[in-house]
Amino acid sequence: MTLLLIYIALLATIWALTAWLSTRIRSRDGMAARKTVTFGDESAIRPSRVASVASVAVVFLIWAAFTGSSWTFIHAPADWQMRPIWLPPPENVWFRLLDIAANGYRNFTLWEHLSISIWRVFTGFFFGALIGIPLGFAMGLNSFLRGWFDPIVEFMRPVPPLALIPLVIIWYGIDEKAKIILLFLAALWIMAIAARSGVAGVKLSKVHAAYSLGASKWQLLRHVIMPNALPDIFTGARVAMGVCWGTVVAAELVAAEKGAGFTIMVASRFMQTDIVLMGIILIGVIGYSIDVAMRMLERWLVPWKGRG
Amino acid sequence: MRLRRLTATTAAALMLSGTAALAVDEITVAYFLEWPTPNQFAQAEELYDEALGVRVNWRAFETGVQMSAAMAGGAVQIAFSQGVPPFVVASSAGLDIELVGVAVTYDDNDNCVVHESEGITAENALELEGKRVAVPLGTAAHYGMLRQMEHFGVDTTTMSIVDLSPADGAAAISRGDVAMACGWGGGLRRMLDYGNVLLTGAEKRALGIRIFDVVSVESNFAAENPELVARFLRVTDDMNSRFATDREAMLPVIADAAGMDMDGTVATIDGFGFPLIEEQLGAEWMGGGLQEFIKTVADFFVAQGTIDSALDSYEGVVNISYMEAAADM
Repeated sequence: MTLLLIYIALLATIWALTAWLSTRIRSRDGMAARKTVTFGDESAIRPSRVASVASVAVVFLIWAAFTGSSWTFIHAPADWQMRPIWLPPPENVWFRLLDIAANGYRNFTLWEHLSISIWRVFTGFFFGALIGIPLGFAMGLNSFLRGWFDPIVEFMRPVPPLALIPLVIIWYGIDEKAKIILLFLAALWIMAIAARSGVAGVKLSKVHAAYSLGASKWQLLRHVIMPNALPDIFTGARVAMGVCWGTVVAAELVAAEKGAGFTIMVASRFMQTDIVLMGIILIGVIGYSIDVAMRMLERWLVPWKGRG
Repeated sequence: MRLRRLTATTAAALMLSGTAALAVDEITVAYFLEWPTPNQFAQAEELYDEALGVRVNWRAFETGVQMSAAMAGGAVQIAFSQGVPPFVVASSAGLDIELVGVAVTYDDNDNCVVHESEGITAENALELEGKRVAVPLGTAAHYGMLRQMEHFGVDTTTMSIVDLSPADGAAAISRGDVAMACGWGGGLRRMLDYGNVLLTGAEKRALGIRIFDVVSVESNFAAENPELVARFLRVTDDMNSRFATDREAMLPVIADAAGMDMDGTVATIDGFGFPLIEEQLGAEWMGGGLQEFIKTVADFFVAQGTIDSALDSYEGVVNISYMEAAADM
């Protein structure tokens, strides 16, 4: 409760400070600079870099202050201090990261734990896209196939992949195959629906224009439908990647011998809160990096997005 | 939005401080399902509520680790039949919990099973190196497995150890996915359909591998309400001694409370031992043997690298005063 008040106080102070500073340095450019009122105008809102950096710094500061960290000279009063078993100070997590990076955890190095998780995500996603995209195209282009697959896709889509874990273990055992199948199922429906809505989004005028210029069905698919569906497919891919990453961490809680989720699970069994926190931070960082990479890939591969 | 969150947090904080300020009029006890013990007769018939004079809520848990966390968070005051490894891990990490009694011993009800196709027995146990093993990590079964492998000289770092609950471990060994699976209770009985054990319960005991569950309490609660803890142990003991004579009448109630059928209950409970108060206060248990054994487990975990450090002595986390008080009741 007090923590929330402190947080809001810090937010307000830094906000006021940056607002005061920015009146001195006019940094807005382009259209936004010429607008007199921007409140309620979403297009004029840019994330403030200063705010982002300060936000992360504040979280760390509060974390350090309440755990008696030696990294900060600001400390909460003694009876407010968290015990390391609940929340270890940031330096413990950092030294633990260095330790595990050097010596490994439960017979595997940190890199092996992380790379197996990443490998599972990419393999599952790859097969999901490989089947899902053609499936979505088929559903977007043919009445019979749409009718045939529609109930299956719409039924399977809202089923959380985690609910399938018990079945997957019984059917496919505990090998890599089982985990990949789970991730495949997580990605498949998302990719199928993204591809279908991509096909649905192609402007009819473009299709007619291509036909009137004498395009064959294949040429239409290759040169009109595919490029115009790509932006939607990329959006689907970003969502699917996020879901897969969340699923792999949870899938590793069951029947794993290595992986990012496994690390957290086992550490919690032995009350090693610093490893749990380290795992959570690494999972967050990797998930965020995957999303950033997908956005960059999208900008590079589909420059025509939003300009159709 | 921010305002709403603020009010919600305030309300939650008020509720928390409210419960803390009230005198104890109910307690929550953590227990396991499918783990039949005579005191579940008292649980079902609400004999605890009568003897303690407060409402006793029973909350089923999945693992002993979660019991520790719930006790530390103040949601649970007493954990009945927490495994030794979770207790050792939590007390070594500095959690305020105390061991006040032994709930159940089960050397024969917690073991490792090797798949029959492997043809591995105590004679050629070294062949287990490099194989895949299913173990519920951080449990008594995990400890038992590591100690057995140590006895046979098997290097466990060569094994691929998969974290599976006993039920999932049984499924894995039935599919032949793993060479060995470890567990307890119903999962262990299903595993035995597909293979053989390396050591019997008696052989493990001879090696100093003791398997038992404890009664643990949140230290502050116990210090403030010693009477309640002692009475809890008293009722438990009454049920244990009554079970020896009145077994047939109690079994159906116990089976119901444990969520099992009669056959499973009988098979499981026959593999259990329930030491009575006099025995528990003797040298083998809380007279000193228990404290020493817990220290052995903690040191073993430190040597294995699973926990960072052990306490110098575990006499401080084993509190026999409640059991002594229960003996005089």
